[in-house]
Amino acid sequence: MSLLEQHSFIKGIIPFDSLKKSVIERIAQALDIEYFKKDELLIERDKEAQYLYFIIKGAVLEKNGDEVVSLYADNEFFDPITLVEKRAKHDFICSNETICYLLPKDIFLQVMYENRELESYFFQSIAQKLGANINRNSNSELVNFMVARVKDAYLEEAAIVHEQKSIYECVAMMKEQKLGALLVRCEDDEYAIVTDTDFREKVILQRLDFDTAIGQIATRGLRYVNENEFLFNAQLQMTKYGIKRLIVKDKSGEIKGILSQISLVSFFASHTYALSNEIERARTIAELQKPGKNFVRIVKALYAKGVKVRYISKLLSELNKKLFQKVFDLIAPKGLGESSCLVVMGSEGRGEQIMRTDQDNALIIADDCPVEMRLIEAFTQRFTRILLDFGYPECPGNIMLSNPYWRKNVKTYKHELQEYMDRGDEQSMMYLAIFFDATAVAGKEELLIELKRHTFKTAKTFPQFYSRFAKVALSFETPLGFFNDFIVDKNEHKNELDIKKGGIFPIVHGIRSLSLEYGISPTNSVDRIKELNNKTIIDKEMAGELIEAFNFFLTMRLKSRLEKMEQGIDTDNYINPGNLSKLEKDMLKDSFKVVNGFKKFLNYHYKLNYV
Amino acid sequence: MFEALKRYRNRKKLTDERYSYLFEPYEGDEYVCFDCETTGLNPKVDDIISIGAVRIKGNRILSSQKFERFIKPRTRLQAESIKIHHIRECDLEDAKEMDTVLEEFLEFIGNRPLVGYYLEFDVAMINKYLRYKLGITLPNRQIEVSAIYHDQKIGLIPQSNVDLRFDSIMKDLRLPIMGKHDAINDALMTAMIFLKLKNR
Repeated sequence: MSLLEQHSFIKGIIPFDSLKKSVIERIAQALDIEYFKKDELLIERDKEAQYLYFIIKGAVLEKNGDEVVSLYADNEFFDPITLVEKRAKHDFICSNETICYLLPKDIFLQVMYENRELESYFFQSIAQKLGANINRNSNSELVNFMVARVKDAYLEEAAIVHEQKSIYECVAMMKEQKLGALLVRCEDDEYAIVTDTDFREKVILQRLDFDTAIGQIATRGLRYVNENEFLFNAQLQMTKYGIKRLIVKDKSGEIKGILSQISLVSFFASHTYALSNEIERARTIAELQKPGKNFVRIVKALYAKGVKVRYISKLLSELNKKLFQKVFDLIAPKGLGESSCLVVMGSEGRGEQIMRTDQDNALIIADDCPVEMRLIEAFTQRFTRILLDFGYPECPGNIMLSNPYWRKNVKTYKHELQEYMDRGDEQSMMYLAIFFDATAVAGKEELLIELKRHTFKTAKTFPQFYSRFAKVALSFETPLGFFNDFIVDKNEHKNELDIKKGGIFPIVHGIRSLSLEYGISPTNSVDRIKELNNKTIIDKEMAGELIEAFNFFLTMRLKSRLEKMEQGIDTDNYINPGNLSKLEKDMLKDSFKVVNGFKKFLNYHYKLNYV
Repeated sequence: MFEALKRYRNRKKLTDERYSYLFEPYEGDEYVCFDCETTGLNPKVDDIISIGAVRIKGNRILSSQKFERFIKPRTRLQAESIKIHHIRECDLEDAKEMDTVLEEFLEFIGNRPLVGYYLEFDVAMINKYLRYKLGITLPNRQIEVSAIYHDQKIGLIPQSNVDLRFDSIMKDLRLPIMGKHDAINDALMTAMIFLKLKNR
């Protein structure tokens, strides 16, 4: 007779659960229990292992050098591959005190070979793991680029000169030190930059005296980047502002060097870079087709490597924006670019969509736009159709510029925004929320900025408005029960929960409400949280927790969507907590608790009990 | 000093020289953790229903070589203890005579140090039978986990009351509860407490 406890433990673990009672009994009887201290090495790389380890309590990391390959938590086991291949690929180290059941190797192998289901399960998962590894490696070039940081790239030395130095002296210095650019310190302690182009265009072509002070030809308005920033964020900045150099600073604000586009490019050979270039270079709609269809592949590759979902979405939204901008430039009637602004709204506007989402866009037309309305209408219809071709589904709520309601001049928008706040009904709140997340993609950004400024100003004149708007964040219950269990759907989405309603939406909308109240202009939720923290509206702890929870929700949603896509199921916002590992379940619970805490904060801040 | 004297007297009482190994000084790195389930809480009148024991070697609990025996009761089981152990009379059908179990138990523990929770009681229960059988009491070194726990706790917070209840200790040390309370599970959990405390 064996211990009941061990028996039921093994029975609760896939794939052992499918074994016959007598076989489980045999396993249960052979188990020893061992206690391991933190940082203890259980299986050493390139060595054989003697046991299959089942974690009763604790956590074990599978590591390849410094890189964590996998994490095992309570009720999980490792590592069948090591036992079958008689050699460990990685180190297995306790990340915490851990208590394990040890199943001797021989018994595990015997049981496995005697039970077909078990054998096929393990071999399949081994093959899958190997397959996944190969796939991962083929993308590694791209991925290395994605996770590289600014300081990993080659930085040019930043030589600093005073603005009164003569052009001649500066050029001599650049030649001697083989510099491509010089930083010029100005009287007001600001920095400016001088490059070869400046000498060519501002000195030689203008026949400027070589003894002129260098300050006169230096370009101001430098962009800075932290040395720990991801390289692709630096690339985004360069593309966004159309500049070739970024000044790199360290944490304390000291200048460390100059990141040039050339050193970035030498890092590239990367898909994203190529992709964004391809979009840039396209001269017809047909040429845009190919890069447009590559987006999903990139998402998958980045996710597989463990790049934070927040960065994936940021990158994707920059690519999307580029694509929209290009389409706009290619087909907009003459003159429209100077007298209108194309905006994307909703999650697209916040830069938080991960898979391609619905088209949520609008056109803001200047009051004095000279282009004929007939032409504009034809353009918007075509725009929507082309995006549909590229795989961006139409917005079910018809929030698209092809709908005249989302294609208005500034004056009408202003009036409409005021109406929303005045009416305060559900529909108005929703429209306002969607619009408030708008980001300019093409055309005159000033038009959007003007409307936003108007929104901030008008909102102040409706005292009831803030709380009415914020209350929407409490529309859905957090799916966490009194006993800290998940509340799952019982009908159509059996055993699943809606992670958008339960977690993502309350954070996004609550943060949006606060941003509207305090005149915060970024649209990305995480950026907004940081800004709110800077203004001390929410404290550092809450800001950190909200960001963690929010990122975790997004990660879970992406994971579930990728899985559903693989199985050919329609992707939605539902996830099944039953499919999560113990650790993920715990993290999900913690994240929902953060949501509950935030809801309480909103309740208090807006006195929502009285609304 | 007195310990040595007591030990010497105890040794002299041994009636069966085959068991002299119990008095050899222990050299190895193993311990035995054990627990008894009884018909009640008075060693004088109550009986052992079952004994559970596991060996501990280094940081490993050798649960695959566990010792678990049920003993034929001489008296009827009290309703109170049935409620605690869930051992009904009908569960004791494949039980053995105490005499046999005791021999097997001594063989299992040898001269290894004993580890337990309120070990005094369990040892007293065993001694009751042992005195009758061999004339001696268990000579093994005894390690009380609640005492180690108490000393470690009181070191942290002097003058405090340390909660020494079994479940409280388990909870405080963040150890997993292994199902229901029976002799072998309690021995296992006590072994975990011991390892955790030993490694602090």
